[in-house]
Amino acid sequence: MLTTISLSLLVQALINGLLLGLVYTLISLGLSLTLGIMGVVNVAHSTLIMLGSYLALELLQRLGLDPIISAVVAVPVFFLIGVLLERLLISRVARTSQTTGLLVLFGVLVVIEGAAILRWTTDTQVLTVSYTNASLTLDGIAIAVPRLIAAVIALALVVLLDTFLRSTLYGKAIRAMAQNRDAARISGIDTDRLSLLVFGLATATAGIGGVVLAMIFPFDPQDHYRWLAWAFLVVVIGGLGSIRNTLLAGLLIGLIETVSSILFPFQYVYFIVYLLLVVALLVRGQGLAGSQSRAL
Amino acid sequence: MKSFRLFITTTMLLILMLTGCSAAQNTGSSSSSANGLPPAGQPIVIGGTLGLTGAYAGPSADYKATYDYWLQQVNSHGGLLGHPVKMIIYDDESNPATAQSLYQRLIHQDKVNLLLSPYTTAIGGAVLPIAAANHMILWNGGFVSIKLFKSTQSMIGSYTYQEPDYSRGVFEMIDSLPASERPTRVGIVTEQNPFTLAVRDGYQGQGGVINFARQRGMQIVLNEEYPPTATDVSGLIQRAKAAKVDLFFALSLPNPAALIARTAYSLGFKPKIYCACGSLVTSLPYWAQLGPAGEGIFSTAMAVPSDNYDGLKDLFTMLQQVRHETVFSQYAAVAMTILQVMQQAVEGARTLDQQQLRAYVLNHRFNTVNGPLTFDQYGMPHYNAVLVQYLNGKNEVVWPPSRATAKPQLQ
Repeated sequence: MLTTISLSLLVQALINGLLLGLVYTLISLGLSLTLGIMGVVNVAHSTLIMLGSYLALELLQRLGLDPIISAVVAVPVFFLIGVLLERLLISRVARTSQTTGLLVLFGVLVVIEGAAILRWTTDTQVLTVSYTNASLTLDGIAIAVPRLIAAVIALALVVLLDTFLRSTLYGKAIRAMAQNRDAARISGIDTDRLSLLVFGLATATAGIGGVVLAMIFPFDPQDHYRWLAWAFLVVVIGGLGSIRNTLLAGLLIGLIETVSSILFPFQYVYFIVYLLLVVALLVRGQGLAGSQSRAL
Repeated sequence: MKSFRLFITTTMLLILMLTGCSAAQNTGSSSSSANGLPPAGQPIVIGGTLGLTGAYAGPSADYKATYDYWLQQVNSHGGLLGHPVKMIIYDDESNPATAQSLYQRLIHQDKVNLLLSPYTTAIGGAVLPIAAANHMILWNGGFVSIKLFKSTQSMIGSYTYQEPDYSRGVFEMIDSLPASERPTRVGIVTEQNPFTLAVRDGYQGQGGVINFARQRGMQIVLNEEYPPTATDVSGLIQRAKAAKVDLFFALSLPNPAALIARTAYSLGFKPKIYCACGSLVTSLPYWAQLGPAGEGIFSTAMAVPSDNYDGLKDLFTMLQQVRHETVFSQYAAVAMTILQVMQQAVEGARTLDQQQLRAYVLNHRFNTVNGPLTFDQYGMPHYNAVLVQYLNGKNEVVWPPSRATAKPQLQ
């Protein structure tokens, strides 16, 4: 079953794995923030990613805007969407049961998906600019340029968010809120305002993720579920609310996926990845349970 | 007395049921005459569903536009056998359960005379037993499934290939090449989907990529499956590249087909022949957006604008005007074909009797936008597909030579 591989094949797989892992990290950052800090199981996260992809498509088709610039445009646009979602929905069910919050966000998922189908139909879309088919070749090893761009954007976001959470007063307040929301509020932290900020940031990362995914993957309004599954996988394996752990989990999954795909028959690859999830849940014993004590 | 009433009631019910069944068996409608035709001036009713919302909204829109176009045409030319034609198309929401209840409604409440299939196998397979149980023909322009065709006497189809024959054009084209140019090392990556798996494996030992390749003495050096949710296929492409595959089959539905093409391009994988043979992908509008990653790739198609078949160019013009389509929709082609076959069968047999219509179809030849069609004993059209290659931003027919618009370009 195990395939004999050459060194170049392995190096190529490792590079592909690192780049893929950073893509996974990018789409998981927002989920990690909302789940780890706010305790919100945001099942609509992937539809926000999908909207990011369509933002890139619309900006390219209507204004000829490069997707990299669209990624910058996505930050304020999706931050605003996140703020609105938090203020109009999340905050209203914040102290009810987690199931209620889950249902509300599932409703958001259905509405966004339905609206996207009405606007863009279910046709597959592919976004192509000058560099989306380009690759760099070094000693026979090919590196796809859009994946490289995605990796750079993901790393930049990881560094920015980690620095923000660890080195700024707002970040420290957010971490305090993540540890104990009530205690944070008693000590004078405006948790409502911070929730707004966190959800806005999380949504902005989803928007950027969507733009970046559109450079690499074909998409349609119903294709987002697989990204939701991968984002949950990364967050569960990485643990909740830690940007660095999200990065490590993303890289680990990406590497396992690409390396196992050259070692084993491909149908075993996802079995191996999900085995990793089971092991993570057994060993860490945390997973999604870490958020269960919190109300939404 | 009570038993007597019960007996009378039961008898009446039985008579009603038998009468109803008999009517349904013969005509499938509330028709009054022996040949199942409605009274003079009354419309012939055609019914069906499409996934106008949900997952299949895109292809279904092409079907709906074509149905409307055909309906307008047929009524403007005096209808069918002098009767106006009415069409009832419900939205099945791309959901098999919804479709099932809607077909019950079409048959029992709307009492349609002729039944059109919904789009795609998942939905069509769910409603086929309902049509069969009510002794109605399912006029199937919506899906391909050799297994379903062979399981029933209740379908007439318009797709001019079934899964086992899907890759046939590639191999026939290869047969025409000089021996030194023929590829020898086959790589197959297959999406885990009933259609694509049947394209690879064939049906009951017949057809399929594996059989076609083995019959020609080719070596299958890569044969892998992947789930529809796969996010990365670089490992598959790396292995195909390492195995020196020169005949590559990506048996994929639209999204993964694009992902594989783009990954292959970015990793510098250039087999002699690359066929995106799991779906009519290169005939979909998005393929043009792939740019150079989509160039040179082979695929299967049925009707192409360069064909000179009855009504083909008019249909394409309509799609350009109504749907703003730049690439000829294969869905529209099969939708129009099934309506043309149905129309010619009704006019030729001069009846709405379902079994007589089926017998007529199996024994006659039909002129359609998909070319002249004849049918086998299961109601499947005989194979009539073309191999296309995406060259300079458009599909060129490269096989068979009689329909070719360009010569195949091998890498």
